[in-house]
Amino acid sequence: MREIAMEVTNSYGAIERIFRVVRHRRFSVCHCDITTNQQQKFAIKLTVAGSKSIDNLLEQLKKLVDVEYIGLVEKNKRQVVETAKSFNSGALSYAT
Amino acid sequence: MMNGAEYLVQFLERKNVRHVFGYPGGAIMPVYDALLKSKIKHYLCRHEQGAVLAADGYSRSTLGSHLPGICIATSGPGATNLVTGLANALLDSIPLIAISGQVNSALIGTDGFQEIDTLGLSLAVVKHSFLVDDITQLDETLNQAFEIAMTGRPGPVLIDVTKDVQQAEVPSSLLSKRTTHFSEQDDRREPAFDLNELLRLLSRSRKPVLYLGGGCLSSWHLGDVNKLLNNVEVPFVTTLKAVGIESKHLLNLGMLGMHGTQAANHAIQESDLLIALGVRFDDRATGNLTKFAPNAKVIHVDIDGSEINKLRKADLSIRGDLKSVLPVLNNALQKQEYSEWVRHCCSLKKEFCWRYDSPGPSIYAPRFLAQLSKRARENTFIACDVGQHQMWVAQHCEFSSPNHHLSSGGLGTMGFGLPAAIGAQVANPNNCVINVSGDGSFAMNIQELMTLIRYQLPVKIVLIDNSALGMVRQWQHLFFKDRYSEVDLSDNPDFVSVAKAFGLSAKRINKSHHEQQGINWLLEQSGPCLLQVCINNNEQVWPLVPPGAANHEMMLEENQK
Repeated sequence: MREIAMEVTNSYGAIERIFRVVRHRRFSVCHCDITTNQQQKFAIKLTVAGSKSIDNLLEQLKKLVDVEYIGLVEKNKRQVVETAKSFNSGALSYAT
Repeated sequence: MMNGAEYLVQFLERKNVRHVFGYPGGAIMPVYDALLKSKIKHYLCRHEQGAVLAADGYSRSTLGSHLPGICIATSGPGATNLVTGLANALLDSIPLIAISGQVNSALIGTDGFQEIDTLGLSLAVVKHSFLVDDITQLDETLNQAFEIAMTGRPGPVLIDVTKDVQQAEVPSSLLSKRTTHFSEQDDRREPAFDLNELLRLLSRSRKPVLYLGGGCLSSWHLGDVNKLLNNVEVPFVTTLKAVGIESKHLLNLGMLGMHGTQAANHAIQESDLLIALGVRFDDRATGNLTKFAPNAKVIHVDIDGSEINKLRKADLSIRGDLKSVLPVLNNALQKQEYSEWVRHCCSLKKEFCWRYDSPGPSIYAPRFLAQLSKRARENTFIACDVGQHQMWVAQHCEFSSPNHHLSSGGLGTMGFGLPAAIGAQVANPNNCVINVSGDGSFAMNIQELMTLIRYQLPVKIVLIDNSALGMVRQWQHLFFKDRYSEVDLSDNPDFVSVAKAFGLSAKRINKSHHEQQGINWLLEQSGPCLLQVCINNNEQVWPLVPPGAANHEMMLEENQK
């Protein structure tokens, strides 16, 4: 299982797009935590499982227009290790 | 006062949109009303799928113009009928904007008449989609839609606009702020890559092959690709989408893959370095992936990072626009010398060249298409459908440019050809446009013959008719022990009479000695016309890489073994 952290624009279909990509790229969702931050963006923590490459899933999710930030949370360190697009709200900071 | 529909149409005008394809209906009526006052010419197709595929063909045939194809439909069935066309554009990375009407905002979610969750059903078939239910969002959404469709890896975008937004008065604040140009915030920044590693891979290679895909078209820098091919001495192969890149080049080994040329497939399998530009290692191109180019290192360049390492691990990956990489490759490859390999590839090309000496009285479709392509005017567009004839076109026709070859590659959409030809003819009124179809595919959007006649578009239809679903029949013959299931179309109507009933001129040929006569007739017609070319239903597409095999393990026609 891997945990993905995302910051996503709150637009019509944004959450559905993420779940659709996860399913279509052959992962299953084990846990999901969605909150709205002060900028009215979604902060999403998604735990997924699957036998395919997690890097490929991240690349597919990155392409979604609504996804402003995405990172893989390293299991032990609780640290976001991979970043993409812009990260401007700080909503997804993790303690190291 | 200006309403949302008028604003939308004026926005399209400001984007220099001159042609749109569509079909009216209740929830899109304000937009159609606004079109009456517009300089934009609307082409009424006879099915929304025809409209979206026409917009797709329009877009493909104008790649480089920075204009997406545009189609319009109403809510409910109008929107659902767009789905196949949107998926077609998505899988081939075609920039396209679909505008659908939606019921009034208050009725969304009530299961009202012609109300369907268009945004929801679009999610899997577009690059992005919007629902506009607030007039203040209209301008920003339209701008975003154009930018998303055209930048990075292009693709289709759907804008679902509620009827109340179409009818709402546009606030004066919006009118003063409106924007006219997309920002071109494209992913064309200089890609970061290890130049030393690139040079090392190139210098160590003795058998490199340039493997060119649709990204070479989408990068809008086809001229730079052609320049590379003409400046360096490296054999190259193309995917289906890239067929037409330097068609006559000595080192063009042709299309690779399931129905690729023997030269291309052998060269790829023997190569020690694949320079993969804008490709996605599609299964139809690679055959058995684990056996694909087994000894080759891979340099993979693509603007879409998700394609890199998706199927084949790259030894050097370069994420970015080809434009930035081509000059580097050009300089580096010019310094390399691969003469022995080049000679070998040329000998493969010579050894495995196409043969057209099919015996017997029947028309041999590959020979017919090769002759047609040679005799057609320069810059002729050929839009094909899906099946055996599609592969014969890719194998045997020559093109001035890859955007003159309109083929549904990723989705393989039967019924694509005629509407795509309509789109190409609208965009290129002075060019010859030929739709090569099969009797199965042709029936899928046959209603668009009415569009041809209404606008007197001089599309030339070549109907390769084997009274069967030929490709499926071929597979049932080869892999299902001749158990033919639902592939017989021997009860087809008389297509010549059908075409004439729609108003086209039409003619049938069925003997090999009619081939030249048929081509003469076709090329002499000044208006929309159909030539029915009857062939034997036992004709097969060769070579064929069977399922699970490596690309060099091709099945061949008896006389090619």
